[in-house]
Amino acid sequence: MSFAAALKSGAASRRYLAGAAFMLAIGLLTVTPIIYVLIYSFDVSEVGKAYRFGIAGWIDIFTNAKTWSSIVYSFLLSIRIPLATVVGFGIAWLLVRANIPGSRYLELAFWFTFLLPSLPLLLGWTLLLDANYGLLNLALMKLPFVTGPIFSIYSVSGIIWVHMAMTSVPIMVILLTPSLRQLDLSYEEVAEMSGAGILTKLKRVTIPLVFPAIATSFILSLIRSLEAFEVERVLGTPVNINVYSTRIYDFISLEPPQFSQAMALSCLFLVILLALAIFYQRYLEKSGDRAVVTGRGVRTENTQRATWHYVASILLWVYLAITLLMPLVVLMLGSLTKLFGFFFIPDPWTLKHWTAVFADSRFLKSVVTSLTLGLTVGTVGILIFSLIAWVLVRSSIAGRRIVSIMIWLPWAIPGLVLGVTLLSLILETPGLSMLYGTVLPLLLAMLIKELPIGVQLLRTAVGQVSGQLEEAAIMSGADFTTIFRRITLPLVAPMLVSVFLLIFAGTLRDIGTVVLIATPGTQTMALLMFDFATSGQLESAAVLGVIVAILCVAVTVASLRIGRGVGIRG
Amino acid sequence: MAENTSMLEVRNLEKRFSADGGKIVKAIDNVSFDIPKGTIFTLLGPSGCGKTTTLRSVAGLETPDSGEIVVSGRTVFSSAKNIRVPAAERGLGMMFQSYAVWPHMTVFENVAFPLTVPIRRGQYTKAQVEQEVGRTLDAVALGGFEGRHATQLSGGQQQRLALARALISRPPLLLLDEPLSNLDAKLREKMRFELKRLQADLGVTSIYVTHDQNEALGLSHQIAVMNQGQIVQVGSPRVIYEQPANRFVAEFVGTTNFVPAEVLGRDGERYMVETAFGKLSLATPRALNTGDKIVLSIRPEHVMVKAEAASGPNSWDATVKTNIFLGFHQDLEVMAGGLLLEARIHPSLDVPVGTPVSINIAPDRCIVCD
Repeated sequence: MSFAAALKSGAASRRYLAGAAFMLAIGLLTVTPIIYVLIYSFDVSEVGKAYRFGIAGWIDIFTNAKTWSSIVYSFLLSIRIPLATVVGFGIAWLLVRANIPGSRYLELAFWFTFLLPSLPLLLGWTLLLDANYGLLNLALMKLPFVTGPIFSIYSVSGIIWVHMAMTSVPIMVILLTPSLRQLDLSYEEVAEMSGAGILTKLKRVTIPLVFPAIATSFILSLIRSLEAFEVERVLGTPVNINVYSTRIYDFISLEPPQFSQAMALSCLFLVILLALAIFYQRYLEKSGDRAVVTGRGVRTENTQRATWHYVASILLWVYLAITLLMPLVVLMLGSLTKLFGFFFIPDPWTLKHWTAVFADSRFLKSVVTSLTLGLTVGTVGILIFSLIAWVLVRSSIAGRRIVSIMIWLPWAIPGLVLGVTLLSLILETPGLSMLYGTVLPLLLAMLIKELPIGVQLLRTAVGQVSGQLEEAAIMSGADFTTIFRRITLPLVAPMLVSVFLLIFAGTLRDIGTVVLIATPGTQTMALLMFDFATSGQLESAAVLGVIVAILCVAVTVASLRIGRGVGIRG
Repeated sequence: MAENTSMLEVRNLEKRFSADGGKIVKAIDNVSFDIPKGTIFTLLGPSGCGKTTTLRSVAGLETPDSGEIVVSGRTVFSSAKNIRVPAAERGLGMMFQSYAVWPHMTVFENVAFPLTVPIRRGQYTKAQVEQEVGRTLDAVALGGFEGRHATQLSGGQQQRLALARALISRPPLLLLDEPLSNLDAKLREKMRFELKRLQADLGVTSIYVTHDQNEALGLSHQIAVMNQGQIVQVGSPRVIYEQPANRFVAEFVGTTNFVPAEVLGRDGERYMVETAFGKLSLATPRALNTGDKIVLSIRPEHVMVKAEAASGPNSWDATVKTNIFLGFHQDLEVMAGGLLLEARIHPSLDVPVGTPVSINIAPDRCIVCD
């Protein structure tokens, strides 16, 4: 049908009108910052002066050796993603399919690991693996034949290890377990009956069936890994390992800030991300969404257990004890030391940092801000994101493909640059500047920041629900709101809970996006912690880290509990 | 009269879509039919024939390019008058191939859903909803299952649950999209009786889509056989089976033997034709000319097999090539004059493979279909 012919019929013109409105709404959130970044990458004026066109910023990224090396390091460090994909899938398979003992608690532990903010765990890791005073190094040096420190956390392998332990592997487990769980066991049983062993079954049946989910998780993690910031900042900078995001931080924190360089470098990343997004989009279109939830019974649990199930379970507990428990315990001990990390001085223990933090007026305020922000962004986020996801999967409005690409854009620029952009837009737009100083700009920033992962995950979830379940509601006389509220949302409830937790934790831990927007009255716990850490009060930072960890655990347990009450039962 | 009793009128329905390479394919091609009140009308055809698209157009889940759909005197779709009533407002009941039972709800919640949507708000009190759910679940023999989760039901129970949900709002028209195809053979047979009984009890007009000829023959008052987007024949099950309009219908509905023949001439009321196994006397309402090359459709049950030599008219010698004993009958393949014919015979006749037999075909059981 030609465009003109399409316009003639009423239904088709509604399709284009709805498409245009949808694109405009998403574009406003996601494209505006990008345009701003593009324009200001060509602004070579000094901060506060009028716009002056120039290409100095762009020339710098192609000529500056330090910038080049940061790009190389960014990609070098991202090899953790394929590694984490393999490990994460293996663990997810053990948890869901092999149904090893304690799998429910193991899964919960991976959630905790991922949801915990990185800064406190990072502090724990430095206490363990520092080449000079790291507890593990000291312990290993007691062994015969060990003469010097074995681990050095300030290195490429140190950064990769900390990332793998804290985020890369846990997020793979979190993202892959739901899709494995929704896969009917009979597919694999057929393979087994055809004589396939475990490896053949995995290679030819299970992995191909959940491949869309694997691909989504891989791309999400890859993009996220390229803009990771805190770990690289703390572990890389002392030994001259710079990555793309820390380089941008340098540009912005210089006196005076080098905005054009920062923006130009962001644009380069934008190109890489767009290429990835388009590639992913084409892959999705080619493979198509597979409806796995169809409204017929699904069996997923294998109940037979052998010795290796118990061995695998024990190995996973050991893994978690090393990656989660050890740094947490060390962090907790660290918050009780007079001097952070000095466990072996005489009488090292004290409670004074705890009492000091509780007495600090900023503390209670930051708790309120963080919780308000996290709960609001989480709740509003899952509603808006699932609506966008539904439109992308189910509707036939025009321009869906363009919107699918737009969805990725907030991740095309690092949080810091997104923050700068939003701050300028809010301050320079008449009527919006009054919002500065309230929590609203932070809310908007975090919503935009979490949009890509929220929409992508919910889109997969909606795609896995058979369209006939919604059509049955249409035939029952239900309008859109009723269908969405009573059919669609409950059917994707497990994913809603996951996305809520991801958003909540993301908001609780975020530093880069909000650091420039927050005012003293709207400082979050993460920012306060960052303040403590960068002003040398590591003990107070550790105290705050412990509190944030406890909060995270509480919200996770509560959400998972609520999540179990809704959705598919029986 | 005919206008008043039609529950559904479909007029000149057409739906096109562009296939790969930009070629326009007609999924539904000028389809028209009427369904009298209180009857079961079946759309029968192979996959891709347009039967499901037709049903979904009636439901309102798909929008045809042109034509008109009138339900109980109310136009719900008309390309000429630019009418398109949304599916939710057509007030129809539908049962899906996958059941589409909502797995996050109990049996009660599933069935009560249609009565609790906003467009019916205020029409039913809570007590009335409970009463209606109870009545409908009783009708499908699911009484007492209200509190179960939908996922705890067996396949047959889920299927009856889907039926209850489709019926509870007392729709004027029930749409059934291959509702039995996911059941095992025994259950399917049982549900076929159940559906027919329920339909008779409730008197609900139904439109049924299937590719299974047994379901179509056993359930319907009228069958429309579809092929490549068009309706090729409409009629009662008996007419469709015994007087197929063409070769496609004869082959798709039931099993049959195709026998090529040449007309030798008229013989009183009958025609004499030459076949591979010999001269055959044929009674047909169609006018044939000497020398016409025709194809006869002969159902296996009309190929009479006797364990003796051929004698008399329309009787020929043959040999048993295959014998499949099925208990209530036997399926044979017999070779006659170089042609392999299927025959369905009484189980009492003992004719092992290799037995010389004779076959006999009644003149009015040979249908000229090409």
